[in-house]
Amino acid sequence: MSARRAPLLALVGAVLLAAGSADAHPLGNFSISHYAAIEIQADAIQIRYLIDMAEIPTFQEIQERGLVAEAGHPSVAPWLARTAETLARGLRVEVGGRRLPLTATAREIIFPPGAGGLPTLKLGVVYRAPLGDTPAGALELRYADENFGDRAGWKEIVVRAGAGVTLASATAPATDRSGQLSDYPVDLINSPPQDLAARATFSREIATTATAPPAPAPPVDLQPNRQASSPNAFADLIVRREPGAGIVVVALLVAVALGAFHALEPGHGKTVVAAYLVGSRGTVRHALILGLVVTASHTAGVYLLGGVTFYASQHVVPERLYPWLSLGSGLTIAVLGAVMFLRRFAGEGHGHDHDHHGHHHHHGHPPDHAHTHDRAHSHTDAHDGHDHGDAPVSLRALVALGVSGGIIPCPAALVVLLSALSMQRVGFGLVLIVAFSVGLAAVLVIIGVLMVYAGRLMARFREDGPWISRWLPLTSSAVMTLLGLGIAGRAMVPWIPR
Amino acid sequence: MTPCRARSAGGAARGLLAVAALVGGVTIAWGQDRSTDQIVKFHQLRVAADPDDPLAHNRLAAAYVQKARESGDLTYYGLAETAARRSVVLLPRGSSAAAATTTLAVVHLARHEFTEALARAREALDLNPVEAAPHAVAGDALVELGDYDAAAQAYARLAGLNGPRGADSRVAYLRFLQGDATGAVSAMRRAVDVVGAASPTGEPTAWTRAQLGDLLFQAGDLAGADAAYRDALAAAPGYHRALAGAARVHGAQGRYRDAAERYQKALAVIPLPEYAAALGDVYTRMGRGPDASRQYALVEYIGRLSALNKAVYNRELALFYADHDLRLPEALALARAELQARRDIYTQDVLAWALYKNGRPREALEPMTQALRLGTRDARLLFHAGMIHRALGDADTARDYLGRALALNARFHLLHADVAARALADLGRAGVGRP
Repeated sequence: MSARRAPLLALVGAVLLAAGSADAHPLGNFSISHYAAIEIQADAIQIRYLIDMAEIPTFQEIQERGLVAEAGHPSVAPWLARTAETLARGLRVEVGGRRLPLTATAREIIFPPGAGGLPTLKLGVVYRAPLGDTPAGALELRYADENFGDRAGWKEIVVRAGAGVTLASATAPATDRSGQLSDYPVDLINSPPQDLAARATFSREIATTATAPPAPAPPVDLQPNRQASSPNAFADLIVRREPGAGIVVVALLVAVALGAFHALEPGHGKTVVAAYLVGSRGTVRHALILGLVVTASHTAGVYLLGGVTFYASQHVVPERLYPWLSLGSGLTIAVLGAVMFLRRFAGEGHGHDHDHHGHHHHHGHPPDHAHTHDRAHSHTDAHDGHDHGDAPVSLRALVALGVSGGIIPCPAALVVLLSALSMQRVGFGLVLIVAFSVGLAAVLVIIGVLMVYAGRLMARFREDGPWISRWLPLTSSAVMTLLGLGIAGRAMVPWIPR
Repeated sequence: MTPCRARSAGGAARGLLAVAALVGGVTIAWGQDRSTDQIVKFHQLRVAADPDDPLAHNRLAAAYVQKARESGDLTYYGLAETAARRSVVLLPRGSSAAAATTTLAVVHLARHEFTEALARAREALDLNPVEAAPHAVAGDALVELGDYDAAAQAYARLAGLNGPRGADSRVAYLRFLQGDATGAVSAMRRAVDVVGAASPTGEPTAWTRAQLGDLLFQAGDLAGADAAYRDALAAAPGYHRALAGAARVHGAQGRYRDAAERYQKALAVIPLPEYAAALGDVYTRMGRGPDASRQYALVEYIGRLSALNKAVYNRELALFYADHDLRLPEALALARAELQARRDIYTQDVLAWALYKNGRPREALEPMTQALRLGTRDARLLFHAGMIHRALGDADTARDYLGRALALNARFHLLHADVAARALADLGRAGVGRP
């Protein structure tokens, strides 16, 4: 076999020796990244289209298409013009079902040095597609980028509306994450977007007869990559090994505290507890029942998911379980809220409410003492027991609410259980979870009790006002419904196709 | 209310967005095979909602590994590593830490850090002895390190935990290395059935089918290999491994235009040096010298870049240089360096080949013997052995090896099959003259 040496290799070698090791392209040295900023203007669609080629694709362009990677070299301008044409053919822009031809109005290219000082390539083209006699009213824009098929890279699209255009909806966001391919995020939840298509609906004001002269093409203004990250960093893994046992009492107390603190974190079922208890003018007993149910269902939820994770992770994938649990609890809350709302709106249960409410405040106690005494006295129990059948605070609703609030296990609790399981201390783990749930429920109960008092406090000032008797319960049940829908909606976020 | 789920600051906003999306009438897809991008996105949301959830980090890390496998994009291995490490910090014990440590082992494996991969896999087994996955990673690392007995043991334990079918694809490869081509193909066919039944599309299915294609090609079954690659492409259109495999079959069948087209497609997805080298060889066969040179230049360029990035193509580059009589001292240096990282039969083979090309066939004998120690029926190994023995004047052994290489697959390599045939013919003539 004869030796084949491309003259370029000598050059490459020289560059390598001269430059030493520099920074690799942050997205890997064979990536091709795409960026399209689509601006819908009153008379045209304008696309700022950027391509960022890492070292290897740049080399392929240099080799196969006679490009010399040097700003101002005579080969660059014709290459860029040809490439702008080729790329335009790979971009499909349709408005109202009609494909619009793209015209390049500005082009730019830079060659930022990459690994070992080897060139990378970043080019930008501003394309314009006049909307022409496209009818006014709502229009749909469809965009698809068919350039460089399956090649790895950051593929990002943003859609914005220009002056005189109203964007009704768009599948792409209005702001980018990569600073126009110059600052790629490297954190855990910002993996490269893979967006090569977008849709938007918009409406525009009909241009008046006095057509303004077309705006001068904006410059492309390319920026080289700001960060120079190498994904190869590899420090040693730190595995903390702690002594297995520990003092049981301390551990239990810690678990209770963990649960309590966990419940104090924002958005922890407190809103629903509060909304429900205030709305229904519940009592401390209701708050306690709710707390107990939350404890029990949370414990059960942790056991269930812990068991699933530990023993059956091959068969049931938590990613499938979580959304369903959330969806279920969200819908339960929403339905409860809706039922309460409808009942109150229709006036049903209003009388009961009033009876119930009135009962508490006709004991003849001085107002200041009423509540503490109410709580302490045994007759509270009797009173509440009597309420169960027909009061709005029904046991069934309480249980449903508690279950839906507690059934989704906290990862923190799951961690406690899994740690214990892995230490072969299953029983201890189970007890720890109960302690954790008790802590969690205690805080919820305390909040519930506070809400009961707060509700009464308000009630005392405006006993007969429509605020307390009608609007507060209505608002609270509406809030519950919305919260439930929100939870259910969030559970479904990952299923929404993009 | 769901404790924990609503913890993140943007939770309410996202919830409202989701409700709006629902009200907007967006349909909800809940299919069996969601795309890897969707799975990645799901776990990103989980991690964003609960930055302290080790299990969510584990799942995210696993999703990133799958994405890396599919795209060949090493960025995702970096992300997988970060996620897995975070998981271990959050929960350094038990099955969760074991899963995270296994992911770290997989990342090491992908970076050809085989010793570290093995160490991590064993760590994972210490954390959770009943976990199956670390045995698979340990076995894979041991194969690369050339410790085939230990690898077989690891796969046996994998089969013990995962069921007898759980290790088929790995057992198939081990059998192939041990010279049992028939057993390898039948085990691989079982793996194809099992994986294909679990999910008809996707990268794992395509991988097993392409792997079957490779084994069939080695055994000289070009039609069978072609069918396997076609099946792989049906499971994952544009799958670069299957494209390159199909291209190799076309090359062996003399369909050079088809071969070139498929190698170009594979290179458009991921420019691996072996694809560029093979495309260069196709161009050489077609008499397109300048095109071939450009592909060979690309191979060298990737090799240089990889050295800069401490990436993983040492062996491919050494083989490429030796195959094409380029930079022969460097080929030898690369092969020697690679033998520090892995001591498997293929690295021994490349070292032997580089020594032979550097005019040192006597020294090549030792690594060549090592490369053949399992009795692997791979035409390339046999061809190399034949050429080395011929250079040493051992005509009978050379004839035997070259004959066996061509008998296995008469078109095992675009350029070398002819070299082997010519050498065998020369030996035949020389043999007649010699008593």
